[in-house]
Amino acid sequence: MARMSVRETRGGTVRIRPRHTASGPGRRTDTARARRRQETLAGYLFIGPATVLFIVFLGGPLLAALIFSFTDWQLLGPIHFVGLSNFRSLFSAQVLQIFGNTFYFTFGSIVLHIVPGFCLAALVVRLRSKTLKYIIQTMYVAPFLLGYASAALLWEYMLNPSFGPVPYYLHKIGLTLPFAGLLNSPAWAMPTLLGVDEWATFGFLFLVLVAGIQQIPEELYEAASLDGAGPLRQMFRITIPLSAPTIFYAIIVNFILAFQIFTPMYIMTNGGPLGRTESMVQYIYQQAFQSFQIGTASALAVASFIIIALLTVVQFTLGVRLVRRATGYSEAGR
Amino acid sequence: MTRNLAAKAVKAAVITIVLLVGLLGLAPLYWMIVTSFETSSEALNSPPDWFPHHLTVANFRLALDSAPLVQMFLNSLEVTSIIVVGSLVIASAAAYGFTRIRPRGSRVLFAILLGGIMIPAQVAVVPIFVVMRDLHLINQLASVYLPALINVVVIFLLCQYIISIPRELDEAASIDGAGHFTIWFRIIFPLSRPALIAAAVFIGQTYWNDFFWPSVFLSTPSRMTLPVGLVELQSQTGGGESVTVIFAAIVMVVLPVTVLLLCCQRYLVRGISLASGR
Repeated sequence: MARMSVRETRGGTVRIRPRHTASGPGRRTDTARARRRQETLAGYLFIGPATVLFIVFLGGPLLAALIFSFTDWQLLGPIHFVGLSNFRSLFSAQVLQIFGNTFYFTFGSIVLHIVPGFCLAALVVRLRSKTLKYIIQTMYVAPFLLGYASAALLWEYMLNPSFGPVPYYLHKIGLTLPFAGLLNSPAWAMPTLLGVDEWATFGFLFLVLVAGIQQIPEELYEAASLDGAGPLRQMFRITIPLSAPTIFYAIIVNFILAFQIFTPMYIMTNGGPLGRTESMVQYIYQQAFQSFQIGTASALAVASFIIIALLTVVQFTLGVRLVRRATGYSEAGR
Repeated sequence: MTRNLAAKAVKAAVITIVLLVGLLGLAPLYWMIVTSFETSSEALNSPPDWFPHHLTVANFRLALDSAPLVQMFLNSLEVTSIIVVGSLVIASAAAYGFTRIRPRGSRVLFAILLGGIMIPAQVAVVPIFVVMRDLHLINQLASVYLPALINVVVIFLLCQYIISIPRELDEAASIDGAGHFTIWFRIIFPLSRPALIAAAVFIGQTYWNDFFWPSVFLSTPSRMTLPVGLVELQSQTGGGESVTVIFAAIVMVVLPVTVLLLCCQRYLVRGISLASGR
């Protein structure tokens, strides 16, 4: 608005007038309207590429997946609508087990990442020595930056029952391990994958928490020290309440990542043994691109979208409320 | 006084434990490097070797012969750089439009776009696969980078950042006769450099290591990016003997980039804090 009135004065007058006096009757209104139209056009030229890509690669596919989920399409040949039968098949024992696996993995991953991640981040942020801080951060982030595919390959050999170091040392300290290896044991496969996930992605959640805890103003700690509050008291009175929004953000990020877990299952166990490590995204992948059951794959994909959307909204609203209660700040829930 | 000392001792003990656990976490990487220089019979030894007996580089040659690793590296580089540059330019332009021009209807559009954050990859992948098939782009790098050019999170964080750039700068340029394109390209784009660098490191890291999309779309080894290419290499060499070759490949083509990314971890933290909206 302000810019428009400035431009209009450029022609003759030197004074900068507010817009309502500049756009008088007649020709001037026309030029103002033309200019506004031009602005709209320019605006959409800037927003356009992102919008087109959004329609082609996000919004459109979401609608298409919704439509596919009511059909029995097999990627080639005709499309028949089959009503809700794909969604009914989501209640089969196999798919229910897959949901169970996925929730188990997600819950385990969140607990194993957020609790130690928060403790470590709280420690690292408050370290006085920059070098020590950098060394610790680098150590814990390196596995994450190696990438999940390489990490999964590395751990497949680490866990190899005949020459892998992990079974060797676990045996050394007196643990009896399944003969066929941890990854081939129905009881141990999923906990083992959780361990691999801990190694491969801990660094990321740790950085998320570090990024948040860093924002807590240093003066609060100084004031607390002057008042004689020890490190434990500072932890419970400052760090934990003030990083509540960060923790909630980290939990949501962790939830979204773990709920869509694919790589370690695909590389290390292929869903086995006995389907104990089959994850939702892996099943979608297999249904869509190996069995070409587009309908079933889409139904599960849509269901997963609904679960993610619902839980994100619930976590967010719940999070905002809890954070408000914990901190007493209304704007802390940002 | 004693209490202070006790607190210091506890702190030192905690830091020692943290460092030891960190070293334990690096042990697999160290074992991988050692094993990649061993002969395959040595690598299958139990107990595992922590120091190589005879250094050999045969594994590296074998890895290069078994898979087009250099081509895969270049593919990864191509995909990642197109995604980083393309998605940032597109996101920056969109963010300029949303925050500075704000054409009629753009608020609703922005809300719809933000909703896209919740659309997970597994939902979009099947319809996109159909589109790519019809465009004959399956097994082409384009099928991996095109869908990644729209990054809603980055649009959101650039909007946040651009709002903090004083509008007087645009107005001054406007008086000098600059149009929107010039203002965006000459003022907003350079001034949002801190956010752009942070986002670039973050996006680069994500797509360099991405496994899901390439595993859906790429099937020929010479067209693969590194993460899928390494898994392909494993399925070709097979068995316990493959360990030295796979490790050699990872040490040769993955580890250098990991070290490079470690040097950029400062930007990674900044990218994350921008993305979390603070």
